[in-house]
Order: sequence, then C-alpha cells, then structure tokens
Amino acid sequence: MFRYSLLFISFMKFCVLGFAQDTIKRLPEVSITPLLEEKQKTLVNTQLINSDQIDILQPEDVGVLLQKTSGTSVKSYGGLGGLKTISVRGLNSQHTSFVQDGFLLQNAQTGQINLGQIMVDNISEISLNEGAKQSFLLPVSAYIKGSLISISSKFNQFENKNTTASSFNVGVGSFGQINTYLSSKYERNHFLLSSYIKYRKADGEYPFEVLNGNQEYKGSRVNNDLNEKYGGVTIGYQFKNKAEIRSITNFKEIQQGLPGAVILYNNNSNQRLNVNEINTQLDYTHAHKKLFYRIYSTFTINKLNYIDPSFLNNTGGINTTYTNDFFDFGLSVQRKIRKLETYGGLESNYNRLSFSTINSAIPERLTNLGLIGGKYKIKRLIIESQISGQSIHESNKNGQKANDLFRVNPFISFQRESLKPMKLTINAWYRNSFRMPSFNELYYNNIGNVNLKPEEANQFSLGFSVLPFSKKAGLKLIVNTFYNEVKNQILALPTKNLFVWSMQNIGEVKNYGFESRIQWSKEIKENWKFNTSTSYTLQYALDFSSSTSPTYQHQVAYMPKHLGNFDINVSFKEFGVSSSLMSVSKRYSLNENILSNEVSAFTTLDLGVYLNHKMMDNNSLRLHFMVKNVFDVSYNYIRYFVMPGRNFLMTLSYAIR
Amino acid sequence: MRYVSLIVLFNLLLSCNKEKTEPTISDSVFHQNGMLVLCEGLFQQNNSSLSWINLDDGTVENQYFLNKNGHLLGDTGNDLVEYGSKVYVVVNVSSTIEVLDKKSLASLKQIDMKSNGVPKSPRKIKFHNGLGYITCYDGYVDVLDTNNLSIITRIKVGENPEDLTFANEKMYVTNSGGLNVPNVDSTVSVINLNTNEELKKITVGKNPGGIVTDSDGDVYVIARGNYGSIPSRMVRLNSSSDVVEETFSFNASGITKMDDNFLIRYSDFNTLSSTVNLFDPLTETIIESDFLDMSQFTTLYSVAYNAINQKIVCTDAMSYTNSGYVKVFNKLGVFEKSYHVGLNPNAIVFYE
Repeated sequence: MFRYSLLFISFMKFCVLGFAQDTIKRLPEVSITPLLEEKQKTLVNTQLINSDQIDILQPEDVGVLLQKTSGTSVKSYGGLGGLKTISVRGLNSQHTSFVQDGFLLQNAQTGQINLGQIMVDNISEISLNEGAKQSFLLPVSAYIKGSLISISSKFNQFENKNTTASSFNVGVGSFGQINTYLSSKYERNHFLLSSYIKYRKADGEYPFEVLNGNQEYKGSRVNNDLNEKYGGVTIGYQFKNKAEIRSITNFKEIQQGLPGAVILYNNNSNQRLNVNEINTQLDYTHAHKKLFYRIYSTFTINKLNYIDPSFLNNTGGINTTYTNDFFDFGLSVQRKIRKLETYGGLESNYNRLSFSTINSAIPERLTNLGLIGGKYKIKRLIIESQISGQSIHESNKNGQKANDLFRVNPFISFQRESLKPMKLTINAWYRNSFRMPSFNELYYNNIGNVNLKPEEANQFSLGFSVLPFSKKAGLKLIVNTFYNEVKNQILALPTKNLFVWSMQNIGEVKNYGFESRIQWSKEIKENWKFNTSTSYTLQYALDFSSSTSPTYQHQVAYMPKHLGNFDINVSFKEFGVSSSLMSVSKRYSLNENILSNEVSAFTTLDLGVYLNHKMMDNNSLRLHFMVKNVFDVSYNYIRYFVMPGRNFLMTLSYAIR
Repeated sequence: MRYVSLIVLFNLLLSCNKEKTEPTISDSVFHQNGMLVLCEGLFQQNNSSLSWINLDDGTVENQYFLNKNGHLLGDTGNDLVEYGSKVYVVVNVSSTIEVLDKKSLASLKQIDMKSNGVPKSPRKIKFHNGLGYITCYDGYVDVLDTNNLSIITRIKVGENPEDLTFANEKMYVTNSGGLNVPNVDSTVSVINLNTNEELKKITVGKNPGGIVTDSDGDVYVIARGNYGSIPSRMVRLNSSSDVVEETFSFNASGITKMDDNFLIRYSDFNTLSSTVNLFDPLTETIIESDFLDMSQFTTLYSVAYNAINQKIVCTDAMSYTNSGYVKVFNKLGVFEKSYHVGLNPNAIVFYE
C-alpha cells in the first residue's frame, strides 16, 4: 500500500507509471523502488502539486496554479484566458521547459508557453523541478534548460487493472464564467482508451478601478470575453514483452478578446485572438533487463490569428495568422550499472513559423541534441553529472537567417541525504544553459534582429530540506539559495524611434536570493486533518548591463523582490475549508527603479468551503464554493493590466469508477 | 489569531509602499521664467507627464500636471504648444487634447478626440488665425476653435498625417503612412485654408515627417526614408508653385527654427549617434556642421529654440526607457546646463 501511494504521488508517472507498476508486478528483477525512494528524498529541488491540492485551490489555469510554488513569479496580463508566463528564480520564462505526459510543449515563435491556455481539470500532478531531474525517460530537451515544469494528466496511464472511470465537472462563476469538463477512461486486457472534453466561456466584464492621480478611474473590462474548447483521446497498449505504446491526440480552439492595458480616457478595445491547435504524440517504452528506453514523437500545428480592426493602416486594420509547426522525435535511455545509473538520449526537433502577411520571414529551425548523464551513489552521497550538445540550424525562406550554432552545456549536482537527527538533506548544483532567441525576436518585421546571440545562463544553487521534529510531526522545511548570471540577455529597445523597437543582446542580469517553504500536515485527531504550507522567496534580479547606465544594479522590470504564499486547509470527515493567501511585493514597470515606475504590492486572499462525499461503488461527489480575492483588492502584475476584484466560483464534480 | 498575525506580517513585509503624493490643486502661482516640458512616457503606461523647470532657481518639478490638477495626462503625450493664453497638450494614445491655462497650468478642458468611439490618435497641433489644426492618424486634420475649445470640422488628408505648417494661406500636411510599413506614404497634402479642401498632393519622398516654413515662405519637409537603404533627407517646396525645388544631399531627421536659421538634427540608428547642424534657408547652405556637441547625449529626442533668452534646448530620451534630460546650449552652441526630467521629454513651452 505504501509503495502504491508513493507511486501515486510520484511525478514520473506520465507513461512510466503504468510501466513502473507493470515492472513491479511482472518484472521483480527490475526494481524501480530505489528510484522512487530517491525521489521522495530529493524534494529539495522539486515542488509538487497534486490533484487534491488543485481541487482545493480551484485555479483557473496552470499560470494561477504555479503561483503557489516558491521561487517563481508569474506575469499575468489579465484574468481568465489572459497571457500568463512564469519566471523561475529570476530567469525569464524562455529558460523553462514544459513537458506534459512526457512530451515536450514548445512554441518557437514566442519561446514561451502561455500558461493561461493550459487547463487544470485533468492534471493529476504538476511539478516544478530545478536542478537534477527526478523523472526518467523524459524528452532529452527537458533535461537541459534552466528549469522544468512537468504535468501528468489523469487517465493517460495504465493502472494494470480492468477499469472504467469517468469524471464530470461543472462550474459557474462571476463574469459569466461557465466551465464544463468530462473525461472517461476504459482499461481492459492491457488496452487503454481515454478521452476528455472541456468547454469554458466567460464574458470577462469585470469592474475595475485604478488610481488616476487622486481620483478613482472606474470602468468595466471590455472586450475580455473567452470561448474555449479542449479535447483529446489517448489510446495505449501494453505488450507481453514489457513494452507499452501510447498515442495521445489533443486539440484546442480558443476565441478571445484582448482587452489590452487600461488606457486612461480611451476605452476603445476590439483586438481579437483566435487559437487553433492540434497535437499528436506517440511513444513506445520498453524495459529490457536493466535497460529502459523510450522512443517518442510529437507533432503540433498551432494557428494564431490576431485581429486589430482599429489599427489605422490602409487595409482597414490588422488580420494576421501565424502558423507554428513543431515536430519532435527522440530516444531516451536509462540503464543501471551497479551503483551507476546512466541516462541519455538523442533528439531532433523542428520548428517552422509562417505569417499570413506577404514579405514576412518564414523561419525554420532544426535542433539536434544529445545528452549523456550519470548518477552515482556512494552511501548517502549522490553525485550526478550530465553533458549535452546541441546543434541548431536555422533557415529563412524569405530573407536573412540567424547564425547556426553548436553548444555544449554541463550540469553537476551533489546531494547528501538523510543526516540524522533531523533527516537533513543537502543539495548543491550548477547548470550552464542557454535559450535560443525566439522567432519573433529574430524575424518579426522591423523588430526582429537576426544577429541575436542566445541568452546564456549560469545557475548555482545550494539548499537543504529538514524534518525538524519527528517524522510523525509532519513538519518539513526546505530552503534553497541561488545565484544566477544571465549574459546576452535579449531585450526589446526602441532603437529607431519610440515606435520602432528592436531586439538587442545587451542585458546582463545577476539574480540571487533564496526560496523557502514550510509544509506541515497533521491528522489532529480522528477525522480531522490539517495541512498548511508557507513559502517566502527573496529574489534580487539586478541589471548589470552597463556601469554607466542609470539602471545599473537596479531591480529589473517586473521582478518582485519578495513573494509569499500562505495556505491552510482543514477538513473534518467530508467537509473542508481552505484559505489561500498570496503576496507580491512592489515591482517597477521599467528597469529604472524610480517612484513613477512603481507598480504597487498586493496581497490577495481566496477562501473556499467544500464537501467531498464518497458514495458506494467508489463514486464521489464534490461540491466546492470559493470566494476569490475576498478583500476585493485592485491589483495588477503588469501596469494597467487590471486583475479581477472579488469573484465567486461554484463547482460540482462527480466521479464514477 | 496566528492567521491574522500572518496577514499583518505579510503586509508589513511586502507593502512597504511609499505614500501616494497628495496633489496640490491649482494654487495661484503664475508661472514665469521657466520651461514647461512634455514627457511623452511609454505606450500603455499612462505615464505622460509635465515637468516644470524654474529658471530662477534651477529647480525641476516632475509630475507637474498631476500635482496641479490631481489627475494624469494619459498615454503618450505627443505635442505641447502654447497659443494665446493657453497651452495645448496632444495625448496620442488616450486620444485627448488637454487644454491648460498658461499662467496657472490649471486644466481648462479635456477635448475628447474620438470619432464614433474610435480614437483619432492626434499627433501634432499648430495654430493659424485663431484656429488650431491637429493632425490625426486616422487620416484627417481636425480644426479646433480656440475660443470655445471644440472641433469645428475635419479635413481629409492622406494616410497617418504627422505634422503640418502654413505658407501662402495654405496648409501643408505631411502624410507619413507610417502604419502601413513598409508601404509608407510619400506625399504632402496642400490644403486651401479658405475651403478646407485639398488642392494637390506633392510627392516628396518616403515617410514625410517634420515640416516648417522659413521666413521667405519656402516649405521644408523631412522625408524619413525607410531607416535603411533610403536615407532621411530634407526637401524644399515652393509654396507658390507647390512643387519640389530641391532635395538636400545631407542627412536630416528634424528641423527647428532658430530666428531665420534652422537647426537640423540627425540621428544615426546604427551608431546611435546624433548631430545638429546650423543651416541657412536663405542661402540654402549649412553654416556650421556639428554645431552642438552631442557626445554627452544618449538619445537626442528633440531640439527647441527659446527665443526669449536665446538658448537652444535639446532633450535626451536616454534610450527611451530611462527618465530623460533637458540640456541647454547658448546661441553659439556652447553647453550650459542640464535638467533631469521625466520619461521621454519631447516638447517644450518657454515662459518669460
């Protein structure tokens, strides 16, 4: 049972879960348990959020959810459906890679993933991983970036038993919000079939007030409607020879208004964004004695249509479609040789962007990468090291192209585990990585600059986790300190005039600080459960670009120095109450740290009550009521992109097994 | 209890926010011997502002409009011009014109510049015979009655009109077409001021911008080219025949009148360096190259001439993302003084 629950909370479970259980059941000679135990201990550099926590938080999307992790700051351009990106330990969002169910998510046009478009309904677990990767058989490219966010979906893995399960959520909320989600899974005789569908809409017309000098400037967010459809089908089969094949197909279709910043005295807003995306993923995983390998491929077509009818050009506005094609194919291998666990792989991925406008660039990028790593355990010390090589070839069918390049990047990590008396684990690591300029940064009309070099990052981290009291006390403290150097940072600067910006490699940023979290969960007495977590992050992200610049050693734009979370959840039998507090310190809208660039600090509080009713036959009914932003705080992440005030959400979930 | 104290702790930790400045509503200070500087701000930040430079004691007060009037100017202030007893601020993205009393700097009226709810995007304002003429990026020049402060008519011109000037009882409007990049406009519309109708369009070169009239009635316009193979040049028009008479062979990106002469500035976008030359429009020759020492400038953004005390006043936009400077030179081109102002200073009104 313990093993099973370990498995359940594990975050390597995408395809491997089924496989792992399969291994346990059918392959007693291949023990997967040590891996799992290690993972349990190495939570120093991994933060997990499971579906129970997601149920309690009721976040709108992954962007909102990830605000609950420490060391991260989210940039959000609005509420439901708004663009959200994440910065981990002061590195900008392009240094984070995203993996869903073991497959890479990538968008070379922006170089980042819009977290506002990743739904939470079918997530069984999400992890943020800094330092050594705890999962195995990941896509090769997921091992080598600054940090990794990995999402595991419900119903996309084998449970090795005949199962038929369904779940249904329906939610209604303020600002015309309606959310419906339906998923089902069927597993029989090693055959898996699952599917999900989600529909969400909102009119998004929330009231706001911003301070205009000493006056309140009140309004209602207009052109903020959202209409989203998501769906997917997974088919899998486990072969008798300890192998497994899976095919996952997902689509999304989003139509939304882009309300833009609140512009004083001008509430004209009619820009639209339509997104259509389909992706197909296929993998084959096999265990052959002590060799594990996985062949994976992803194919994604993403169409993004941007419309601005009030742009004052002679064609009556802007209507441009951007088509992003992404193809990824690779092999990931892991083999244990006595105390040495080796892993590695090869991967090729291809990105292409085309614009619907004539004379635009049509960039293509072919990346070939290889990785080799090893983890060696000497008693309680684990030394892990890896080296990766990447060769990137660019082409542009319409105009100049960026330079090709070849890079080698190292990583090394040390971990000393479970020192008595307090189960102290110490972890230290260094990573050298880079992020390529995005297609927009290289090729976008006048703004792009094909001479951009990659943005380089050197990350150092030293941290520990400790159980200060007995294991029974359920209290855990984790602290990580970090120091990062970013060179050749890519920044947009107005070069020709205020209306013609261009991308430049001029930035040098040094980040340092620490992230800390205290988790405490306890069963107070029978039927009473209590858990709380507190996190605090201090991060300096200082501009070291030029000692003669007025912003030398200033905190870079939109990077808060302090971030805090305090969450508490108490349940009695089927009832529960939860509270979630989040604080973000003041930021500056530009690199110059002066009063007129200040964006105010804010603290928001969400409260929830729920009923989790277990019925016969393993069916369950959940009713959840939430008040978000209880104190109706007027706040924004990005200057004048106002966030919603107090709002309500009611969700009914029903699960059949 | 623990919970409450944690909230307090969080707030203490995080909201070490300075108190918002309390505005001092229009005290009856009569502004004199100073410079009123429009700081454009940055797109979508609603941070256009005015700075007041007191030339008696050399002090600078930023956020001056806010402090005087208790509200903000809005987003992207493009032009600041005085006419009669009033000062006019053209705010492009907010699409408004803020009219101030020149002496007290109290806001008299905010003119809403929308057409059926769609912003007209006003850019520049100039005055002629009691009327204000405002270039609007939606393809019109709006005519403002300066007595009752209302728009009386709209004159259709070319695409994305940038600037205008008057000569020979006609108005010359530069049609930039800047929002159709790379297919920009290259014409100047000539408008009959009696009928408010376009007489003709003169082709001057790609992306026409600044335009001025010299003391002889010749019209000089900057055709900004394409920031690449086509250079930015000054073109001379004859306001009697309305034809192009000369395209000068030197680089030019802006013209400022200094008495009968021109200060011609040029910014090189590759080297990010700037020059200011002194030009005589009567002999059509450069009198002195590199008239002002630009070595201390990061981003030359505007050049103005203060006829009251005969000083040349340049603004430095500091890469457009840092608060800027106003730098004063004497009429001989010798640097005198620098003042630290708000973000992207671009236009100045001088006070006696």
